[in-house]
Amino acid sequence: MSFIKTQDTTEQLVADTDMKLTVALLGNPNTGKSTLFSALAGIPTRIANYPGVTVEEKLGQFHHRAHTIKLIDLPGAYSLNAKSPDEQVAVDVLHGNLTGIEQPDCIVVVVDATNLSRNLYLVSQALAIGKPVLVALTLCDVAESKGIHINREKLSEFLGCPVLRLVAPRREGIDHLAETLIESSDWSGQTIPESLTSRLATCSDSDRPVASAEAIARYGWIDEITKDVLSYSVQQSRSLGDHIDSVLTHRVFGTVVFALTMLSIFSSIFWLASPLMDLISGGVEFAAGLAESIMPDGILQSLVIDGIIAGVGGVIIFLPQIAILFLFVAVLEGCGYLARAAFLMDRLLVGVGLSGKSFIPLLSSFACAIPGIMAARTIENRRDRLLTILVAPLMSCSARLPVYLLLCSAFVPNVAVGNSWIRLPAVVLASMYLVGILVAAMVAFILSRTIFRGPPQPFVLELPSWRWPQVAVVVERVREAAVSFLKNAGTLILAVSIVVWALGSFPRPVLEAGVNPESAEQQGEALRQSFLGQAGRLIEPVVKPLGWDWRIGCAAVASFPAREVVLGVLGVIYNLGDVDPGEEDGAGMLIRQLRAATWDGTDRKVFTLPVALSIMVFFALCAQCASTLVIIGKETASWFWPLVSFAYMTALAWIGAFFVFQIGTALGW
Amino acid sequence: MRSLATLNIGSTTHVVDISGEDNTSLRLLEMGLTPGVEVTVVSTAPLGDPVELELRGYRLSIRRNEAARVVVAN
Repeated sequence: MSFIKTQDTTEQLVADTDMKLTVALLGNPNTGKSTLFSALAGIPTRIANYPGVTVEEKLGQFHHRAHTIKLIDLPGAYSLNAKSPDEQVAVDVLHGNLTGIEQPDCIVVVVDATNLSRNLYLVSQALAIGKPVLVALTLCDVAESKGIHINREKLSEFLGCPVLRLVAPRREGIDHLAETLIESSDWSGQTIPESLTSRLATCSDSDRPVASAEAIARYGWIDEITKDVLSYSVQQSRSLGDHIDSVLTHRVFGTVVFALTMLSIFSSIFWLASPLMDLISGGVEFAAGLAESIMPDGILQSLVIDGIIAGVGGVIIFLPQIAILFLFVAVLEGCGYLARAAFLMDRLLVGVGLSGKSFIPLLSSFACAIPGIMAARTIENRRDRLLTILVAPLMSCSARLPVYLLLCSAFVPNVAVGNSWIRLPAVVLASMYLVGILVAAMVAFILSRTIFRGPPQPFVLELPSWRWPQVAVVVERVREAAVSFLKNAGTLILAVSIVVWALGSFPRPVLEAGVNPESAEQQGEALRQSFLGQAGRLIEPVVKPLGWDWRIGCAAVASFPAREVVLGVLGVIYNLGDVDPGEEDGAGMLIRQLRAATWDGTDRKVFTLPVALSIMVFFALCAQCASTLVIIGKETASWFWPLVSFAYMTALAWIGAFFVFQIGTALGW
Repeated sequence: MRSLATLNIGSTTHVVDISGEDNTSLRLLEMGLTPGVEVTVVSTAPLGDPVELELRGYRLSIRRNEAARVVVAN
């Protein structure tokens, strides 16, 4: 028996027997479905959407003997009475109702051997679809070490389908599974076992709703099965996992560990990433230098250096932070801590109208709102999910950080707070994060008590048993996040950079004789006359109450498609040419330029502490990210909600910036 | 009859019924909280809600208002 994962010559030799088979992987969350997917098909060839804690179905393909097997990894589901978008996707695929995905020929139900009873519930529903069903028992090694024994022959007899033993990380049983899948094409349709149909037949007479009566009937059937197939070799005693749990979900210790964990994740996003960011920054600089030396001066060179390299370079610098965040999220998810985090945080989030399940999407949004909004799919409830999506972009994402860092280091006096070791710029930086969190809490609180008012919503959360995260799964999560982020940088942000560059470069000014077009004054004048400059001056009355001159307004307007372009735009506007945010010298120069900037025709400085704070608050609250709005549109399947997000965030940003500037000025900061 | 929400941490009992006919009640049944099943209250979150349960060999967390729907044996 051979197991060939890649194209091989043997395929051509036996091409006449070649067969295509589509197989769906179905299972409860936390059953090791992703591990099995990687063991079978490696890296998915196509992911239908952005990463998050949950992904829409993943597609992969592998070859076994001469056969091509297409694999669909469905989102985790507890039941086929869909109650969440994730479960709905699973149901739609299984019935062939999802356009673009063919109905699977065979269903592999991944069953956690340590948790047989509840996992069999989904099996009982899968048997009714009519396609051949194959039960893959995963985590058998863990179950055996816990003294749980499953009689597979008997189980297979009860279910009327094959039951295979798998230890996916060690690839045990993988070949056998592939072989059985090939054989399954010869089977006639799956039938529901007589023992189950007879139980279900009585449900219509029950005085409960049919769905409830059926759930009870299914568990009755499962209890009958498990009584016969399950045996325990050792007395079930408190396991190591129970001891870990009693600490980590403890009222006091659990909270302390939780706070420390989150704190260290945050610190590492900022500190661990910085050497890598410097490296990328060096690479961007090198590319710009290279372009400058090999391209002739002129409009094309300007497009490449000022538009493309500066724009995209300023964005890919965040790749290390995104990768590190996803590394931690994947590790915490893999070992089972994320669910505990939702458990610990639920009461607090319920207070503002959200739920414990909002915690992970909101936490992810600190790196980038896009994966955060995607992760909101794990929330079954439509109301909680919408609310989470609406407030997620208020979490300060990593693209806001360079703005905060620049303005904090340039305009916030670097003095100690009181007599402590805490410096004032650090306090301001932390306050910007706090502003986002507090406003999000306020918005969620108000919305949940007005337009989203409704009956209390269910919160049913499995706390999976503790286990070591699978390296392959963790790597895959990080890779997924990185790839989709880069894809975004390569398309939308590239386009925006070119548009902003064009708006800032045209119409080209008419040069008087003897004027050096490269001089700072001339570049500033060119910008002033460009479309971007005209727009900036047009909106000056709107931004003046915020303490801004037309140049800041210009930078803010140019950053609506993607806020990370703002430093580049500020650099151009304040006669610098582009500034790489990661480059210390460049930032230093930009800081000096900003400090020196004056209002047109006066000596009055543009940037004061209240102005810097007002810009930061504006950036903290404003919906300056086209990709986020596009994702909100996709996830809510409407254009209404992205418009709502855009409108309310922009309004709050203006109001917040207005009050900060006016109060700051009145207090004489 | 008493509800699961009234139990102290560490107590073990049997489910008698789930009240209510909406999706929340159905989901509780589907997660295995069916009549007759043994359930233990393992812990509660720092602010007293939600509660952590053990049943059918796994850990499940539900809010107190959901636990109130679970009728248990005395």
